[in-house]
Amino acid sequence: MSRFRGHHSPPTRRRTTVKFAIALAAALILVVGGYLVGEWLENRSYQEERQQMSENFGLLPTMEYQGQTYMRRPEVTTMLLMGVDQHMDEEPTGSRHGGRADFLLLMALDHKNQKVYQLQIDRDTFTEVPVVGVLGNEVGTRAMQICLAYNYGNNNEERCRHTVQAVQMLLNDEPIELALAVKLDGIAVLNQALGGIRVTIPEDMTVVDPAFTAGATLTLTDAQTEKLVRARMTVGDGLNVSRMRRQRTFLEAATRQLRSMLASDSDFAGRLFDSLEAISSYTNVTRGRLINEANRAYNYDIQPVDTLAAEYKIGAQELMECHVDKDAVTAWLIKTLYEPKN
Amino acid sequence: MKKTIALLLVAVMALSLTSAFASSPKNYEEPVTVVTPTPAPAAPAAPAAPAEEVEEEVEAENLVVAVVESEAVDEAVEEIKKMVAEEKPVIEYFPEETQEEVKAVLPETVKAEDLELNEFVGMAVDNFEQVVEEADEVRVIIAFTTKYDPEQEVFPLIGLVDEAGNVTWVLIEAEVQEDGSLMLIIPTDVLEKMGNAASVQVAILSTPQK
Repeated sequence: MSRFRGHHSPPTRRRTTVKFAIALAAALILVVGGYLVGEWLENRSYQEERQQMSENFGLLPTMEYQGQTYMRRPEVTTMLLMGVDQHMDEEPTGSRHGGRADFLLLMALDHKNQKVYQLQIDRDTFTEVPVVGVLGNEVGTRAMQICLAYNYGNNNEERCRHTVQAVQMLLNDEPIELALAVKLDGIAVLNQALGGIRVTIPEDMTVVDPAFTAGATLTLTDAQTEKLVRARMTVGDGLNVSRMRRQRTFLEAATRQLRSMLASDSDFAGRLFDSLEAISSYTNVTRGRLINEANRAYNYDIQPVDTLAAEYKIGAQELMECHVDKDAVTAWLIKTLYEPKN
Repeated sequence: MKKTIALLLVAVMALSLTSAFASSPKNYEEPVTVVTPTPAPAAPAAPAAPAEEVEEEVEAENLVVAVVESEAVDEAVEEIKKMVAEEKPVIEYFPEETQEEVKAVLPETVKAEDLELNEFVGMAVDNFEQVVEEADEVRVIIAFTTKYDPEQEVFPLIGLVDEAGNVTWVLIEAEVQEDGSLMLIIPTDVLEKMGNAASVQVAILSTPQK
């Protein structure tokens, strides 16, 4: 398209029609080509765990709530994003020292209704967490802050799996299909991939960075990105719920830019995966799968980030414990993943 | 009259208590709560104790028993992992005399090579002198990361480490609590050795989880 700029001869109707047709064809080729490339990459390297067709075929999970039976909607993909307090150059050792998952966001991509739901889970959520013995063997569960689930495992894949299992247990054993654990100090890499995220600072954070005055709109540098999403103790009331609000500000801004770049650049999803791969500690999402999910969902209606109603109290360890309302869990699942069974 | 001190460790994880506004610990930590006076447990502390023996509890406000991070324990765990990878039983990590001591108290149905090791921690003991003078044993309840089953048999080994790094292992008794925590029954002569040792390790051998 750009080579037609500066062409000064008056456009005729026929010429305009031809240009439009060429542009439409090019757009179609890009979209279809992107999808096929993504599908090829996905099929080449990703072996999904699927049940045999003969086994429980046609049986979708159901749940009962207030006298109504609800059925799982198969067209919704779930993906857990984890921000882990590991450093980029760090590989944890030992079976109980993996680090904490301080940021937990469950995304539900509803391909039927073209909506993206997001649930931010408080890292202080007190719930059963799978744990391992000192030798790395699984020894059941223990109630603790959900962020600690990432500590347990012999490698990042196991730590990721345990965190997913903890979230699943919190959400009435709802299976989560995809998972991506990102090292929090690598979030700057994502900032670079998005060309610098532009945010409005929601509250005075000058104690963290002089540029972070309340209401200031700025394009974050890489270092500022990490400050914005990680700072907690020195800002405001020091509570994690307040940090979660700041993280949502960042997320919303990042999502806007992500959407814009996905719309304008068909290769962006692939490059984004490469960036995420560099800062991830583990993911079961393949490049092709991410490209396909991104290409399908980039123009979906993104719903505001949800949180679960919860009661906060100081626990036996004098640490904040977030006890989520079980009804709130069920209500969220019904809103996003289930539909009434006729 | 047997004098017992009951110490309640609600959950084992952190030596220092942090406020609700502090960042959470790097790992599951077990803060220590000393509960005094504490009702004596219904069951006798030591199976060998005569039934008519009366227990009297004394206060232990200053006694400190806490689970602590220990590089030596981390190294030992790595060593045991290598043994396990070579399909050697975990009990073989311990000296032969300790192995024999454990075997002597195993139920007939349990083989020593089947014992599991799911907890192995460093421990700190302080302000123990008064307790040693006034009591015969202390009872310490620890909620380890592993929740033990009341049907499991547990065999706690206290490792007394000297300045040269040599470890002397002492087998003590313990009871699994309903909530999966362990009540360690520490004779005060062992407590005194723990307090005077360069460092202390605690390894929990147990029958397999069902």
